[in-house]
Amino acid sequence: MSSANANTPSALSGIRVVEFGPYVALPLTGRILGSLGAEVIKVETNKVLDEMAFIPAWSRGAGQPEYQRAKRRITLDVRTEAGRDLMLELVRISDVFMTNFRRNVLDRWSIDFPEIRRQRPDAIIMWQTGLGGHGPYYTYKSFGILVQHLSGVSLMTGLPDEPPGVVNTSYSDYHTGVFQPAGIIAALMRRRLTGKTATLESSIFKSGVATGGPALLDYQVNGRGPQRRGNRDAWAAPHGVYPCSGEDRYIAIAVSDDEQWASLRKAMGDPPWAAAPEYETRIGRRRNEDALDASITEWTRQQDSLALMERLQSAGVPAGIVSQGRDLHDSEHLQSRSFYQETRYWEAERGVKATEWTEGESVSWSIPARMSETPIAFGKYSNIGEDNAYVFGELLGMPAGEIARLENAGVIY
Amino acid sequence: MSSGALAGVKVIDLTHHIAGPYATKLLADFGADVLKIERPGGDPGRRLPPFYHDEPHPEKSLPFLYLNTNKRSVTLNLKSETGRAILMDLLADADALVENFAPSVMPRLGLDAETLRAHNPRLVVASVSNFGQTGPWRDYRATEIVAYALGGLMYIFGAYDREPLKHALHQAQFKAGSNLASATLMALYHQRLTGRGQRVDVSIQESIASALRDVTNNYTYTGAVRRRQPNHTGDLTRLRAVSDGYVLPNPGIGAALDWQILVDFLEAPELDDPRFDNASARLENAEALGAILDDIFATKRKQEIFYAAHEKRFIYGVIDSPEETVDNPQIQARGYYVPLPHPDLGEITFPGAPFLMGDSPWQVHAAAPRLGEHNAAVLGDLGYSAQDLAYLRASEVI
Repeated sequence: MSSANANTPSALSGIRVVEFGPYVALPLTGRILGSLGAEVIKVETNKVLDEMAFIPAWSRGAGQPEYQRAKRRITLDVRTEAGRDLMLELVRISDVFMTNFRRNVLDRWSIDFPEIRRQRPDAIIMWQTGLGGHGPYYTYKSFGILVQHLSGVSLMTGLPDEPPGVVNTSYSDYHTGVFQPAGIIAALMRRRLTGKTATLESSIFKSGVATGGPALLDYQVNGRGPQRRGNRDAWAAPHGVYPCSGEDRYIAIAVSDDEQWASLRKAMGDPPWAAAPEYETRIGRRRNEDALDASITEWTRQQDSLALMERLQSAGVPAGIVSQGRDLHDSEHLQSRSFYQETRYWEAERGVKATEWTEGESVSWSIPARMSETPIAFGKYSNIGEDNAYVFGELLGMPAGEIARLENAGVIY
Repeated sequence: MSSGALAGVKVIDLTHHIAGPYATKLLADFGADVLKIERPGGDPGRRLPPFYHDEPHPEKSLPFLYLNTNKRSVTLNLKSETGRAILMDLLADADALVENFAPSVMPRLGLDAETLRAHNPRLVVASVSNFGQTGPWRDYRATEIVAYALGGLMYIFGAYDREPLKHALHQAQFKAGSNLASATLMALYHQRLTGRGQRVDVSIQESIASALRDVTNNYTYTGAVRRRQPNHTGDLTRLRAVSDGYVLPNPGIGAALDWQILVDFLEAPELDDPRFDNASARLENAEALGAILDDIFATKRKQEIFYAAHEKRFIYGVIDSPEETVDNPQIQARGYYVPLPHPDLGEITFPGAPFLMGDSPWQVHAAAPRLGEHNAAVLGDLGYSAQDLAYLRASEVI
């Protein structure tokens, strides 16, 4: 696909967004909107830094070039009166206000939604919650990494006869981060068409439940409870990951039908064991899966995972290495699609103001969608507070002296 | 016209299986007019188990019923010239075409993006595929487990010294579907501003690989490969069995942990012990700590400890089953589930809106269509008579 001309207007140019809140899903939403040309103003403070800045190492991290790029980043302590007033001034010049703070916290700061509406009647408000903004759980603190297990999916994940498997990352956050822009853009389209605004409320919990729809229906109409199958499939076999040569290397192989089984047999060099009549049909392979997997494992164990993937794919068998971080970074396929791009970053350090962090060079992933006519910008990665002069000075028209005074007073901090 | 946010948006939906239909479901549930074009045998998703009352039937696949609400269905054989001509007629006033064929299929049918966009310059042509429309792996085949493994999420999931585990169901497909819906809307927003459509290319692998919080950057920043976590029983955030299920405790993130508060909360005086009162001591005595914690948690009940923990501001997760998810009081209070009558199967309750939008309702108002249910209405609008329809059916175009 031809890449978009840099002079083409971005899909969301002219739209200004205030992003207020930490962690993963909300900043990811802001990054996506920013990459599409919206001017996203990220409001944060050095006084309470986002814990995600300290990832990957838990005490010293990379900041968040993955989540906080393509934004204008300012520091503002909204708990001060002057800070709150400035926040409301920003709301007045913005189209979208989005936050993931709980209702009681926003009330405490007097930045509640009725106030936002008073300041900017046509503002689109997007409220990201863990478990929803109403109902018995609304004041609960929640993280995607924990809320995701309420969705019913975890109980189906893991090996049979063992406790459920718990994926130690907040995949529900990632999912929430990519569908929230859909809600905001739908609301923007509707506002253009009808002049009506909208308040959106998402919950990370629901992004998990949405993926479990068929299982919920299965319970309802068939009374079937959750089943853990490890990497096996209810129908297809062989289906799983198989060890390869090298340390902790695996390949995923998923044979869906008899034709693919024939291709796999051929790729394995037609070993006598694979000719056994019980393996001829899908049901036969499912019934004899333990023996089948053991034989395949014996074969894969001696092979390089990447070479094996290429060989199986050329034979028409769905197969893929279990990618480690390094594999993703080095992948020729992802490189050919410019998936990773170079970025500066700052090594986050506790107790040290962000502007004093050490700068480094690394790479970060780009937005996982390509568009032919409107650029999806990788975007600049600003440090925390780097855009104070632009936002307070140029956008809000504050004199430099006033900005400096509020910096010293700990308001713009 | 629907009253949803996307009222007036016309989508021609060539998707099948899971990722594509989930994207168009999101658009349809927000009010877009989604016309699903199925091959004469139907979307292969109609053959996805489980089935209603376990009866395999094209109208009874539960994943299909879930993924195709609010759409209309027309059958069309795109391998026939007449079928393609009808598609072009349908595209003449459409806003978007969404498809998830292997990247070589549409060009082979003469339906490449350039041709379609020349036919209707307003058209957004949105595709989701396993590895994207370009690159050396473009034509590789994948299923859920293959895309999930290649995307990098699988490697960190499972026991440290055993094989990586796949997440249940079709997480990669759903995430890519959400991603495609977002990207299609961005293009539609731009189309409303400029009158011009464009090409959208979403890769399932990239949908997983992006947003991985600390898999790639552990390597790029520190040179380390993040692996599955070692299984040490004293880990305070480890999954624990309780008397009626499992919980995932979390005494706090980042902040210093006040051990005494935890001891009091768990009502476990035996933990009030110098062997456990700081992080390094707990690591040294992990096994003893783990044994005590296992015993304590075994006496607790899942819901009780969940509520008690949140009162103390500890963030606890509980591992719920689909049954419990349906009965969850929080979800019930928010009216998340939507009962919907199906002409053949009676009333079934569906998961509802992924987010709430004030004034602009999300609605599931129509069950998944029966195969070709709207052939007569849609083709009638294009000017085909009943006689024409009979001919098209006989010649296997519809």
